[in-house]
Amino acid sequence: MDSGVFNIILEYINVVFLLFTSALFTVFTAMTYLSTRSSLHYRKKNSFVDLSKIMASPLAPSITIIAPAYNEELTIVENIRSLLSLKYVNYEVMVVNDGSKDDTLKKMIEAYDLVKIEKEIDPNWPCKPIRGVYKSSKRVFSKLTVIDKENGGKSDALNTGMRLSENKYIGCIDVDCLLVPDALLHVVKSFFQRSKKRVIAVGGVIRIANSCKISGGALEEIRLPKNWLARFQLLEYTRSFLLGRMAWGRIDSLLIISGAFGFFDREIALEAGGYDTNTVGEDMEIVFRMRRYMHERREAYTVEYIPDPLCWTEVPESIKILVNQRDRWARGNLETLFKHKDMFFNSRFGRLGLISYPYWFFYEWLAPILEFVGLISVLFFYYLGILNWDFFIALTFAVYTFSIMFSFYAILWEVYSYNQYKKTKDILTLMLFALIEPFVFHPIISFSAIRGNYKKLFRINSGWGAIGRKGFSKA
Amino acid sequence: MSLELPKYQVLPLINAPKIQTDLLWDLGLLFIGLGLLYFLSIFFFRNKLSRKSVSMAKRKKELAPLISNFLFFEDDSSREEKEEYLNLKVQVRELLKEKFNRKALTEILMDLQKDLSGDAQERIYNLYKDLGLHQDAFKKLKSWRWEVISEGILELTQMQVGEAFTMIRKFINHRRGVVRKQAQIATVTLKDEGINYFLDSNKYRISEWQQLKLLDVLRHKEDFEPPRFKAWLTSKNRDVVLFALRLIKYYKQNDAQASLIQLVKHKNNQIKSEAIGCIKEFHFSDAVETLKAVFWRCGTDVKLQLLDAIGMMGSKKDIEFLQSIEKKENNFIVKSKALSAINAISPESIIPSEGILETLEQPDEIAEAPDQQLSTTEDSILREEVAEEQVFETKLEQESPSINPTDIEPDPVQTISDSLDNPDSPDEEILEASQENSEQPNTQETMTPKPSNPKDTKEQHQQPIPDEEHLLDQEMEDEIIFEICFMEDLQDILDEADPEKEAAREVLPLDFLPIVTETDEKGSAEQEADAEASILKNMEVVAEIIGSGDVMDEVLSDEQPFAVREGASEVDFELDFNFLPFVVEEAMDLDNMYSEENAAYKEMEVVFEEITDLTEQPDESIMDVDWELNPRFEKEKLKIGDITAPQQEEDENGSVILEHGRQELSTFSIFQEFFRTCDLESKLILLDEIPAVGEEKELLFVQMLAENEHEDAQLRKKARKTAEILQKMLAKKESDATFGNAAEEEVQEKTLLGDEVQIVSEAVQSTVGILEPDFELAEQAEVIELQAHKEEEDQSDNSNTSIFESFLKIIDKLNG
Amino acid sequence: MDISKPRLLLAEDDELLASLLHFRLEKAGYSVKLANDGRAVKEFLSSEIPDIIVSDIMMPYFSGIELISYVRKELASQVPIIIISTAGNEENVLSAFELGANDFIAKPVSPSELLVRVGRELSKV
Repeated sequence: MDSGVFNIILEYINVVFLLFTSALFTVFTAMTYLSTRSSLHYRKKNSFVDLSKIMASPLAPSITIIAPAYNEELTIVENIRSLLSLKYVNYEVMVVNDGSKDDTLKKMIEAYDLVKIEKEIDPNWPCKPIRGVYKSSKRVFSKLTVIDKENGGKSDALNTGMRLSENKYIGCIDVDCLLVPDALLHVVKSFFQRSKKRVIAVGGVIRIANSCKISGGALEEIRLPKNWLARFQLLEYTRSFLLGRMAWGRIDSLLIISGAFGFFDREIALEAGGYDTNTVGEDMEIVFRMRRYMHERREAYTVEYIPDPLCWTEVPESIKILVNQRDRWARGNLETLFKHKDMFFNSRFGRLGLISYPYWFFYEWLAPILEFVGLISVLFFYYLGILNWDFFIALTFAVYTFSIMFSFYAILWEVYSYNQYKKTKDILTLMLFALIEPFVFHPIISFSAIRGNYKKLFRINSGWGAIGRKGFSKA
Repeated sequence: MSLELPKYQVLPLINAPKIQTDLLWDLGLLFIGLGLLYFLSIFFFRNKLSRKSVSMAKRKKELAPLISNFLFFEDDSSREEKEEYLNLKVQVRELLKEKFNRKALTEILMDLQKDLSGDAQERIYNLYKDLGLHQDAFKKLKSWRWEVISEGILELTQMQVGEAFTMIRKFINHRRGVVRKQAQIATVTLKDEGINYFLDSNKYRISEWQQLKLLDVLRHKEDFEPPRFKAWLTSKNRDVVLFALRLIKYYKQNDAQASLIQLVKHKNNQIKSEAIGCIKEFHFSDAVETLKAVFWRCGTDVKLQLLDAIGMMGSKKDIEFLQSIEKKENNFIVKSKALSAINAISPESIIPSEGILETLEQPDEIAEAPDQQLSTTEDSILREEVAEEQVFETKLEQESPSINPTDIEPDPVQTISDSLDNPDSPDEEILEASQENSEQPNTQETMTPKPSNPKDTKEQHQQPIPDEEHLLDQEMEDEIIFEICFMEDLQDILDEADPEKEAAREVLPLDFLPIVTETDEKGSAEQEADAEASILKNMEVVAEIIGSGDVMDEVLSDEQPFAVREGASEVDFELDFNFLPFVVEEAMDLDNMYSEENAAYKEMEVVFEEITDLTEQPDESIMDVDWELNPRFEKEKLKIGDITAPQQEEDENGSVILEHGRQELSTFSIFQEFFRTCDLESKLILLDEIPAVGEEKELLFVQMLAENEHEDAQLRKKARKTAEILQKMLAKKESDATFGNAAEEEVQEKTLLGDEVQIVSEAVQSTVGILEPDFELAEQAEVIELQAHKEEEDQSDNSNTSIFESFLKIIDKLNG
Repeated sequence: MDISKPRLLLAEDDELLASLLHFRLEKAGYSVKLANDGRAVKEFLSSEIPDIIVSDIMMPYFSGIELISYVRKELASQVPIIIISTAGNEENVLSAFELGANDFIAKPVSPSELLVRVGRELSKV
């Protein structure tokens, strides 16, 4: 082989990496800027809002919280109790028992005195058959509805709830999430505060509840997770929710709403077709589709994002579960991007097509792959003895320092805006984790992403990795 | 791509550009630097935040007992407690000098206000104002940072500072959403008429959230008399219509049947469904035909609502229609709803087999020409009316953005009464005045366009709300005018807070409301008779209102008959005169009502009115037009109080003082102790308190104070007055020795009030001699101006005895 | 301590409101003990049982509901308990009554109303 040409190719590979890295730096810097502006504005705007007075207003819209439950017998009773004690009047909690194999339904019936009620069902029902609709015979639990249906997966359960609900807004949450009492008030505010655009969906921050003290369905004390993996995830979530989504929200290009806490305008969600049952990334896909639907209807709309800590959940504490989770995310990502590939740099979809989609494509999907390729080629070049050490080390150094800086900035915002971890030691610990993250946590995440992509692209089937929960009631 | 290029260019292009590794290292270093910066900031912020919150919490904890003491201070407490209370009062004044303390106090009060209700809440509002904390909030309104403005508005709203109404009202069309929304809430909160003003003048869209909050404010208002909201169903702002519909439903105002039925045909879904909701609520069964007519053009949700309504109000003849729906509709839920509607109308109905074929076609017909079914004779009459009105309205609308002197033309009498009735920002005021002719000036009625069943409702509503650009133009103009007026108002309020003037304010903490309320009662015929004579004058007034800013002054200068521009004080004087006809016209039927010579009397009259009012109207909503229109007026009045006090003493009470003085020479007053340690301001406040607690020994002390030539002039004056009030009280005490403690307390208060009235009245009675005490203050230009007033007053004294008689009668009454 | 004064335990976590009510109640002639959280309440109750308890329903460590059942069951005391509840929390109020609360007052609190209710409960005893 002509070593001259080879060298040139080699150099070009370096240039590609350099360009990609610089592009990332630029994007992240822009994101930092946008999220800063956005957070500052949000703070100023909301520093003196008293929400609690509003909850009983006759104009307050009706909301259905849909919580799909699959084999949750350990925690379901406690979780429902927490959902029923939210500060809001006009809402319904709809638990969809997705054909659990354990005693989930029985536990609910016992705890809440449920009785089966008559409910007419559309003969052309598009979801899995419904076995029964239950309501509580006690007035105290009048807000609770339980749907028992045959197993059809999370999306199908959510769709069932969406169709059976008669309320204006629906909230799709994980049943084991802990919502703070004010959560619905914030959501209603977000839906209602726009006057020029229709708010089709509202998403929120997911906070990590591992090791926090919880009693009686309420968060009593916020603590830093003890588990090292959870700590890394805390750092990751802080970056992603406090900086990332805030920035996307700022330019109205938010493309993902966490499945654990997402609220939708029921009318639009249904007209857009509800959740896709054929993907594991249903929470991302539905936002794509609703946005698309609104674009096609040519209506002014927006997706709102609430940075206040409203929803707390437990994250996986074992590598295996984490890898499964991220693997699933990667596949969902790929499926969604593929399904809507016509949006890619399509100006018909405005910013959605020109900014958000490409970002997801390049950063969320391509980056881990590129990283992987980079690693392989470095090893390969090293083996061949032609590695440009100078360049390699300089690039790694820049990327590393950048990631640290970005993490620190996220911590700074966390401190500035919510300051929830009171101990200085906690903050220092987080910083230390930021320093070692690129060597420890990041490879795990990248590996999961690669695995997910590999599985998807080479058609290896696997179910959705269920996260074994310890359950809040134990904590 | 390089492959397509000619050969000779390939090589240099193929050679990859040299990567500047140094640059990467530099970048890395930069990132480290930034990382370090963030690292430090994290700890900086943490410390700052926690230090701030810790010290604030600490201060709050210190101040909380103080607040409790103030809040629960009862008039019937023991003498020791009163002394303790006074001590605290002095202490607080001292504390208030520090901004941090003011902030802490404000926060405490804001917090408590949320947690407390009933009389305690009232007391918090009063305390907030007593401590002068609202001055800080007013200052915030002046800020250039929108979040600060908004904070100020919030504070004033929460604390129910009625005085802020006119000022805050101007923000309701502010460019910044947050400020705008806060101001809207404030406008509706602070005054019952606020909602009218808001619905009339709101230019922006009203978000759902905002509607929710506004309704919430209304819901929690006590004794709120809602206006007839149907008046706003014809508004051009779609959100105003929507909100009006919701209010109609909430307040169950079932007097707008025709309009509501018409609105079912509105193209906006929300309006449509709200209208249906109202119809259902009020059971307007006439609407069923319309409901059927619009059915096929609606979305699923509205269809369900329609079916619900038809099921509730429909009769047997509607069943056919429902059956046709059951046949034609695809949506399962709609179908089953139709069936349940049939069942609701006639539970045991068996579906008849005949007629089904016909009805199958009916829906299409309806869909094609739904509107035709609606034309009844009643409608057409209404339509004409509406059409006329709309012409009128649009004309007004066109005029609204620009204010030029020609706009002021229509009936000036009305203009004035209106502006009093309904304090608006200048431009609006004039418009409204012209809009309404000489009907009786009932705010609710006149401000609102007439309700009806407009033929063009639909068209009208479909007119787009003025687009951004247009709005912006208007806004700009509004903002300029607003800025000018606002700054003036604010300055006046802030001036008031000056320590020198505070003393004066404490003497007569009264205000002007009655002027407004009494408008209607006085003969309108008389007004008309006087109208011509006053027309010039009123022009002036209007000019005053508008021309409070320099810009407007220029515009108007041609027309100002009294254009006085020589000296500052003279201008002030002149402007006061300009203002006076207002008062006079509204207040009483007097001869020579508009003669300039009466100026001083008219002021007196205002004062008098306030006093009578004070007994019934505590603090809320005191503030009104006058404040805005002519703040100088109030100062003037206060000065009268100041100046007349010593006069009276010299005239009547000199001997009494001496008597008392000899009796109790050896006693020692607790106030003496206070006076030794506190500053002038506190001393003035203490003097206010003395009458409530005081006994003979205090009297002696106060008299000593008054005679002490080393003391400040202001203080001496006040001391003299206090002495005299105290004296009267003591005299009363002796005579009413049989009274119980509580009763006495009341009497004292009345006496206090009465005294002040008397002081004023006597000031008027006395003639040339009144000017003597003024020399003490003669260095102040404003006082000179006041003298001029007095002189005029003297001249016109004889011609106006009648007013005095009635005045004095009331005073006697007050004195018991 | 003046023995003739009725002893009142006030459990309220909002310090500001607590100090205010404390002042008002003292002024009205009660001997008031203040507890800012559930732990303090428990501690106090272990040493003595007051003549009446006024407690917020939402408190850290030990909610008003828990307090009622603690007093009624574990201490087996029938001391009058008045609950302070936030508006819109009807379910909690219901369960408070079920557990044996004697009366309740809603936030925002009117101190005068509280006095009347306290007085009434004490007069029943």
